[in-house]
Amino acid sequence: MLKTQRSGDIACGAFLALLGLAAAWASTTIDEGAGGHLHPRNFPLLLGVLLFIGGAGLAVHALIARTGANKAIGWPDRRGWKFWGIALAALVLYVGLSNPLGFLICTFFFVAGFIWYFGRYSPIVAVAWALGVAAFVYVVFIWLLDLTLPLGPLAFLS
Amino acid sequence: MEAWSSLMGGFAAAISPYNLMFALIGSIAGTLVGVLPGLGPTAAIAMLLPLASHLDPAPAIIMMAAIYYGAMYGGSTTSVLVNIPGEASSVPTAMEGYQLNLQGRGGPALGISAIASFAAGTMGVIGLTFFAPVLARTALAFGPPEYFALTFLGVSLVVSLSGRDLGKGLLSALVGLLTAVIGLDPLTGVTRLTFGSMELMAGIDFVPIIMGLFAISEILVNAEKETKCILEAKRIEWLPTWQDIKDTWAATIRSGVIGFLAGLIPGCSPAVTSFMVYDLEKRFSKHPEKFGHGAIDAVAAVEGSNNATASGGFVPLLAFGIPSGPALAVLLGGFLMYGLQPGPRLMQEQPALLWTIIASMYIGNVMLLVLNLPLVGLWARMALIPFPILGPIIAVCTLIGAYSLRHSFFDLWISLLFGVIGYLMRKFEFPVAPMVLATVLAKLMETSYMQSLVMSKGSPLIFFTRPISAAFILLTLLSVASGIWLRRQAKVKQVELEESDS
Repeated sequence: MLKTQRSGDIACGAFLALLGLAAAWASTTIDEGAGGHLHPRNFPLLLGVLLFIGGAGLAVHALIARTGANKAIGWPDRRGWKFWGIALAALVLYVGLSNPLGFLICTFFFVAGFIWYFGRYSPIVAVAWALGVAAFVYVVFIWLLDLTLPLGPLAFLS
Repeated sequence: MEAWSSLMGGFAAAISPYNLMFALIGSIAGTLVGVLPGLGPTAAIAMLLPLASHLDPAPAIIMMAAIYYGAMYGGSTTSVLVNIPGEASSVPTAMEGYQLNLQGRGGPALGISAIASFAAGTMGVIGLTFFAPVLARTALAFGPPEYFALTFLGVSLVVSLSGRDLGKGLLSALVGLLTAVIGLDPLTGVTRLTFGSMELMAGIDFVPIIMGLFAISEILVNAEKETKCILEAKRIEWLPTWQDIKDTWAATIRSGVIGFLAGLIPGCSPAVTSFMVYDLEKRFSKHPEKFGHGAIDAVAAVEGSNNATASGGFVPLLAFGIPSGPALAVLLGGFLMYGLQPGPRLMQEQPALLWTIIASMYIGNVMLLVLNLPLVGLWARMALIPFPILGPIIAVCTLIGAYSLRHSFFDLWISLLFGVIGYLMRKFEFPVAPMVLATVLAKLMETSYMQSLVMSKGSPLIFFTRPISAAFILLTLLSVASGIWLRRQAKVKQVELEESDS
């Protein structure tokens, strides 16, 4: 599936055309505001229609002209997808857990886990780096720049 | 000559050790917030305001000004080393500088950007010293129609930023514009495409989008490839050579002039300027084919223009008290804290203070060069850190930077979403730069368009009857036409090359 740039163009074009259609349809429900000479819906509606035309154009062009038919997309292999998925999952966990656990704790686990898993370093090295990065975050962002970051159970440090 | 003697007086005051110390503190703090992605001078100046209130006006304002222009120096570091532009104006730096870094020329790229920042920044301060009263009027000549025409010119750059496929570049720009209209209508406050979500009502900020498109997608690409080290080049150069300086000085001077002039226009996003000089250098360059594959003159031009814009922004600020961006607005707050209202009266009542600040900007730029050049080799060695260690550090710094802008976790999810979108765009060969440009410009473009129509009671003729706006529109048409022509030429050349090969 989607092995060549041609099939990629068809899929992307179709997706963008649908997105444009959805945006155009959603724009028609925008209320009228007071005071403007332009209805607030005009700009998004125009963009949606243009996106629909452009996306459809891309897909149709790739279908008919067969551009990029012998150009492969550089997808990763199975092993590559696994690493890709794990990296993304780690990022999602980091963002998702930063609110309850706070940035310092999440930074520590995220950095340690990433270094240990992707770099195959010994857990001691990974933990040492993670402690260093968490300390850097604390010193630079919280102490020097005085940002208010959620710290979860470590809130007393702020 | 009057300016000359006043400037000398300013220097005499600015080199007192006390003032020098605060210029240095400001320069260091500015470089630091510039290097950290997402954090900008606005936040840094705002955080130091309470601290500055214990000082006299001169050192306090010297320090805050140094943070502002110092941040422009640091902006190139992460763009070149790890492909993360800390702000929209550094996106072209990342496009070229990161390629240079992959070729083992990260050091020269950083060195040249420090030198160009210094040269163009100083040119901007010279402009501020001698031409401020004459040029200040341009700031007032810009109304909504002019802004619209300017953003129109900005969007036309999509033609040259699209790389090989113009159609995909235009689609990428359309998606960017569509993302930017989500939220409240700028004039009437009606909600648009928010689907009832409170988070979407505040709109989608472009910083998390840039962080996602560049940093997060970079991490995903390297994770899938099991990259051991970003830098794979055998031969590594740590510092720029004379040849590099010779290759870039003309670009630096051009960008210094354009950047300074653009800085005079309040509210003109520095991103417009940096994309504009990038496009211009591509046209002036003797080797346009290098653009996109590591053109060092582009790095010099973009970084130079950023700094000249920063200096230029002081003209409307000091002449009329009009801040040209959020960071200068906070700096204006610094003036007001001391009961000083920048404008014509301040120029007459407190000339010594103003000249001290201007003189300190010359000194500050020298300090930043001295501070940054030795750091170049050190920063460049960061690229030697294995990716499994560098990757999570990049992720943590970017995500915390993106969070700190609006204290919103929603922005972080946006970053991740655009990380995946950026990854797919790389695979399907969609150029990223047009999307960034469109998201940055959309708000200003739509707002100024609507305001213009209010001014003209609904007639779009207003864009053609005002000279500056008409000139920009003409320039846009020329830029699009010549861009398409250049594209054709390049294509013909490529076909000829391929035919001669086969």
